[in-house]
Amino acid sequence: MAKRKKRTRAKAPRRRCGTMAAHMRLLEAYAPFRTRQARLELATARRRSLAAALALPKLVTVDVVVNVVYRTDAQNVKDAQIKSQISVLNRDFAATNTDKKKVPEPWKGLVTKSRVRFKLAKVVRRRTTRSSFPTDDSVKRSSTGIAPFEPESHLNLWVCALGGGVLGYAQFPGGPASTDGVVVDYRAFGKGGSAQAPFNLGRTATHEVGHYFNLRHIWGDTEDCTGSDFVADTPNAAGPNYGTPSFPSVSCGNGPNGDMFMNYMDYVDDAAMVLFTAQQVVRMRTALETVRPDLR
Amino acid sequence: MSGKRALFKTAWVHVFEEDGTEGAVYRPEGGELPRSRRPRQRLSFSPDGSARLVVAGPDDRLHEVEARWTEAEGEITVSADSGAGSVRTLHVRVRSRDCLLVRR
Repeated sequence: MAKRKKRTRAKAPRRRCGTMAAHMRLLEAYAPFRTRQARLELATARRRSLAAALALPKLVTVDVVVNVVYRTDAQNVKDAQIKSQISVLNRDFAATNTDKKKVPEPWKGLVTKSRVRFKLAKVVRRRTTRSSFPTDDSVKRSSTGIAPFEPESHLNLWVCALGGGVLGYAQFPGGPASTDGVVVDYRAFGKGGSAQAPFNLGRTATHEVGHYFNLRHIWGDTEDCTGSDFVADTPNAAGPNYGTPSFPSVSCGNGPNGDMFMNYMDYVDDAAMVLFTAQQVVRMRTALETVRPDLR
Repeated sequence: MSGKRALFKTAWVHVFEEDGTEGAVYRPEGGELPRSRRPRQRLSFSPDGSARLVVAGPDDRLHEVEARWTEAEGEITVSADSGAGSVRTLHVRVRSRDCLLVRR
């Protein structure tokens, strides 16, 4: 079901979720980001309206650089754990995850392969004295962490200890190259090793790479039914779900099926998120082919 | 307000697992909380009437938002500039020394 923001009278003060305010500040802080995001939204809308959106997209392989910034042995994740993360990305973005059987019957037909593959290009490691990093991108600077490696042509993925209980964060397409990529806490990275339940199935990276390819949260980042994820085949939802919800979980009058909480772009546990939809794939592929063309 | 001194002593963290029909539950920072994909919003107050919200953005980063607070009839009203002329308002009640309730 398509979601649209309610029209309100211009400039009238209104309650708005802090998440969107934060996004507005990001758009203001880096002018090219605003322009690129606007262009990308136009390109996505155009592509959605074309039959080409339904055609099987070309298989593309994205080279991944994993930057490990560690203070303890546990934070210095082993190669096997890194490989497990790449495998999870490949499985989830190809929709070959066996747990997609958890998708409720009404939405089974929406499970879609992105035709994006991930290949580990290299691992960079650096020791730090910091006990944790905030979400201010300091882990991406050469002075305090590791600078990204050729971010135009590589997906950079940082692994470190994140403060504030954050599992990971991303940068939308169109932002500064010097901070482009995703960051994942070492306790929510890959499988085995330092990964801790219930975030030990590698889905934090799946979620953050979804943002990297321009996907928004499934509830539209407002907690009052007015937000949108700009995707037509995900139901409107009032806010994030968490844990392992039971189907159906109804909000915003979206019954009988309710929120698509099992989507990778909700806030549920790793074991509960299992699909990208067809229109999410159109959105990701548009980002890949327009704003991130050198990744291919 | 009896709990006002406690109000300033700490940052308050959203423990959404305890939310109910009355509203959102905030506890003092520092307690053991389960890790969560949903970033935990934080709220802090200063005696001079300023306040600070830490909220998650759509890219899952945490961001600080400056705010002001006032008190009337036992309820604290927090007003934060949300940009583009909009204001975010929270209505907060001190339930106890270790619990704030942000009304829905």
